[in-house]
Amino acid sequence: MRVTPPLFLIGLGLVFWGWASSLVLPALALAIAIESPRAMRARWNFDAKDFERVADLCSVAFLLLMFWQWFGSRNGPAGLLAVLTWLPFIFFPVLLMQRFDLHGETPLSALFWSMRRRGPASEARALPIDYGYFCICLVSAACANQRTQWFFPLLALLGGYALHPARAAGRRLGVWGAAMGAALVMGYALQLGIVRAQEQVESLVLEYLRERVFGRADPFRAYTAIGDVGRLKLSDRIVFRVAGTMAAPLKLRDGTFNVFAHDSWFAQGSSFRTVAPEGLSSWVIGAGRGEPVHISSWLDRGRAVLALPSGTYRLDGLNVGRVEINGLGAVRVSDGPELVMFSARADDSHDQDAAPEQSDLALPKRLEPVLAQVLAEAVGGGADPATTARSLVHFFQRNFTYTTNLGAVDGGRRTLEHFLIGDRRGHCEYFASAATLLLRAAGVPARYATGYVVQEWSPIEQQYLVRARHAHAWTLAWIEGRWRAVDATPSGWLALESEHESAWRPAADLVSWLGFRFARWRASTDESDDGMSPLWLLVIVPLAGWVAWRVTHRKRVRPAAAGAAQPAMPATTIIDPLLRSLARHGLVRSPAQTVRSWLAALPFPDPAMRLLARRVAISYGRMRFDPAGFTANDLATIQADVASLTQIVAAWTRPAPAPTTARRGEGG
Amino acid sequence: MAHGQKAFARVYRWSQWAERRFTPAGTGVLYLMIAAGVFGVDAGRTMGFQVFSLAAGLILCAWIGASRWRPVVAIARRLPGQATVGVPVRYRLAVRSRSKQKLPVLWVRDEFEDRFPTPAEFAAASRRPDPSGNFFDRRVGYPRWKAAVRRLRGGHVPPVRLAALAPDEEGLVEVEFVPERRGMLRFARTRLLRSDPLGLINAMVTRASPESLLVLPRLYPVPSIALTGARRHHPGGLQAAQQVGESQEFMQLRDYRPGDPVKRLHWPSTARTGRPIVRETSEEFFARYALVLDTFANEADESAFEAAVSTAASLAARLSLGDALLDLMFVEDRAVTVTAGRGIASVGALLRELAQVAACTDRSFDVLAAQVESHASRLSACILVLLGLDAARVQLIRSLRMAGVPQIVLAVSGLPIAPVGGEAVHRIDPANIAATLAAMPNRCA
Repeated sequence: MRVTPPLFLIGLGLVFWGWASSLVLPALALAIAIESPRAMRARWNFDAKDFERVADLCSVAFLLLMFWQWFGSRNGPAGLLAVLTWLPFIFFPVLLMQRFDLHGETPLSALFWSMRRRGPASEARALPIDYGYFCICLVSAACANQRTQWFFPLLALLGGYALHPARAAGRRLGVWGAAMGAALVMGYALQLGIVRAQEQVESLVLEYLRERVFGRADPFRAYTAIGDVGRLKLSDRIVFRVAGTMAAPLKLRDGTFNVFAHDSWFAQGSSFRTVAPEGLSSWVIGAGRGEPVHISSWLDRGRAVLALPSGTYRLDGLNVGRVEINGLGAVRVSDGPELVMFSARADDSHDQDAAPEQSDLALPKRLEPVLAQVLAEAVGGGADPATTARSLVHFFQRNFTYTTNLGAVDGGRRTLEHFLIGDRRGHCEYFASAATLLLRAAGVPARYATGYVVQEWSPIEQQYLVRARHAHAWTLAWIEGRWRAVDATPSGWLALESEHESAWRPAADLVSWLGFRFARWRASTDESDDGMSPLWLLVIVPLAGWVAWRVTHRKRVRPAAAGAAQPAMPATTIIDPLLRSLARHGLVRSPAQTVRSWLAALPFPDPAMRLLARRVAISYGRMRFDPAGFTANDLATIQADVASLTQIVAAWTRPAPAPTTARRGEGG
Repeated sequence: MAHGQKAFARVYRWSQWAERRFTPAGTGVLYLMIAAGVFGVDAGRTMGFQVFSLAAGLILCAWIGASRWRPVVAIARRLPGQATVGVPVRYRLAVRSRSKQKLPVLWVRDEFEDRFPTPAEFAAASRRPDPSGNFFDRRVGYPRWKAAVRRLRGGHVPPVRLAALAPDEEGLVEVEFVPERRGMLRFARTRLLRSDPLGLINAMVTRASPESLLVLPRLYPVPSIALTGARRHHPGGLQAAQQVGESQEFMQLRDYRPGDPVKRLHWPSTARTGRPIVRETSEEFFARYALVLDTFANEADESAFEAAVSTAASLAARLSLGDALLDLMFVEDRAVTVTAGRGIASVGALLRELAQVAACTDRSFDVLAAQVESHASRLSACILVLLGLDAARVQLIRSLRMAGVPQIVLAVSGLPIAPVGGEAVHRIDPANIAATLAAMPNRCA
């Protein structure tokens, strides 16, 4: 039931793949190479080991590419699709070898490691892999993602051509054509349906995420841990690395929020606008004068809200596809690699945040009495904004305690009221929220800011490390015509945070540093999207050359006739080992006797031997007198039969002549 | 059946169904559909969804094209009398079309009964060392379970093509397969497959056709064996001789001597000569050999046991009995002796016994030893096919030597056998039966 591929199918499949992946010329070269055996007479008698060597080389190349795309390129896991696009190229040598092989088949042991452990019988099993390779071409072409209306029609044409030889025997071509037409219509309708269905599902999921799920780096909303009890667990994980000549501690801000409700902060009325690029990787947000701060930050699937110094007006070396900023100073990037290393220049005097609005003075009704009471205690009345801010900071430093270990209040949630007039204990979110609202109550426009504090210097890395537990919240107050940071959290909070650091921190830091160095190295060497460095070629090419020499050396056989994979040796040569083995038992053929009749008359005691001898005799006759009809498969069969029979004969002790007296009782 | 094996059985049935239903081209399209589905799950990232859709459309259309096919056919199988393990068997299947319409080109698929291994059988199979076993097999066990099913099934008949049939026409197809185990192979059903116009999915009809075929053990070439040992007087042998109609062997005619029984008078000669003439006869002396098969194998020794059975069968087929008797002795649920030669039974009967002999796990070797020793006085020579060489087996060899029975001792073992007290023992390697059997001694020690 084996189906023979139609003429030039693989060549056409390769051209289709080349067209889809914009590699037309290389694909044409491969197509010509793969179809060239039709015009060439040279053939090699490869054995299973040769195929295994070449297949192993292809597998190594495949794994290297996978490794490179996963770890070595900027594409991350998505880069694996690029490897799939290259599959026809990677496994091309195996098919080329099959095409030039005398038998025209690929041993399964070359494709499956498990077959190599099951002995010679399994290694001898072989199949032509043309159709499998053709399917690889189709899937790889699809992975190249050529979004064109011609993809499906060309795919359908190729599919129809490939399946044409498989059509049911005895059926008319018209019936097959009608069935194929119906299948294509169904396939076309189905692919349209899939696109529509995916759009619907994506829309539903986005809607769900918008309603239910928000992350820490959401520029529109900031959850706080106000209300939570117990120890606030903060990780030692390094999230940024910062270098530069700036004075520590430095605050990196990733979000600013202007509305407080239900113990959470929201950013309202602040839509994003796109920042225009300058050159390949520079982004100009505004103007100013400042020293660069070098930040290395990981992106989540190419997207992130950046943590930047206040007043950032220019970003250099930021290799992303898109940068956006909103009116509250949040900078969002997308289409970037997994790690970005850029310089941010900031000038506090040239703030990019929008001027205060009415919402920057809004207070929750519920908290107004408490805020008025605390404000009177902290500031009194009639002070200017700067003095009010200083008084508030001093008030918090003197009367409040920083802690991340909070207990419940009467079995319920903690509230901002309890922080302000109760035990006066809390973490930075309490301080920042309270300070923001108190400033607003004093008539000073204020916003709630989140980000990180840069203060931990690493002597090994010679730069600052910013950990997850360095996350901080503070207040932005509109003082003297610009937004200024007001940090009400008692200054010892960082030392308190450090007390709970993990014993594994040094080891984790080392691993993180090595990972960072590796990511930085590959980012520096990765100049192209495909991530293929010429260094790899220095390894692959000599290895491929050595394997090619090993598998082709002394394997070439002379073809018997042009254009066909026919036996390349005379029939008598094939059965020579058997004749010699039989001669050792005194069984020599008379010149007047044909090989067929002589083999049939040999006194083999075993039915298996008789059957093998008969098969060898028949194959020998076909090979001798009908060489044109003797295929490569037939040649392999007779070789295997002769080898088996020779082996049996070698271990066979010829029986003595049969006794003349008949055995009694025979037939009972 | 354990929970896991039930799952195996479901997967196996499903895979068999898929193998029958999908043509090779259909299988290729199915795999392409799965691969494209995996890589094209995000329609925005790749065009895999278009490849998936095309493949799915082809499968769907082919499925519709393969539905509603109900031909009326009668199928008959013409099996040979018996077969041998490893030797291709050819037989014929006759398919008669009773439809009023022409039957198109079909594929005929003859199938054996599928018997799944019992938990005990599977556990025994799992304990056997398997150098080819991979991590998946060791961890999950499905390939091993599938191998056990295949072993129990005993062979695989490849589908054969049947030319188109006119109404009421009978088509004959010759089927060939290689039996993979000895014993009774049970055919269960015959299926007719017709592919859809695209050639991807098979329509199918099934006819139950239960039949059995006895498969003899695998035979190997063995050297010509000259069993020595004197002929012995067989009181029991007389009985054997009577079964072929001769009470005593005629020697000569002679004159009557006083005391001769009157019934020995040869009346025609007496009448011709005019004096009493009697017939003189000789007592029954002939050679009797024993072929002893050790069946006391443990579960892990299946290959050794099969090697022993094959060795015994090869010897039985090769021995030139002449006018001797050959006793095949082994133990299953009881001690069994099957005798061939001198018209009692042919060697074929021994091979048929060996085809179905099973290992004995609930008795000790002493049962066989007692059986052989009780016959020792009548044996001219003996061939022992043993599974290893422990104290009990050495004791049997020695007791036969003490009884003066020449013997050839073959011990089937994958490991070298240490020489025991000067006894000549030839090792048969289960992994290399042909070579080690060919090198066996051809004379009794």
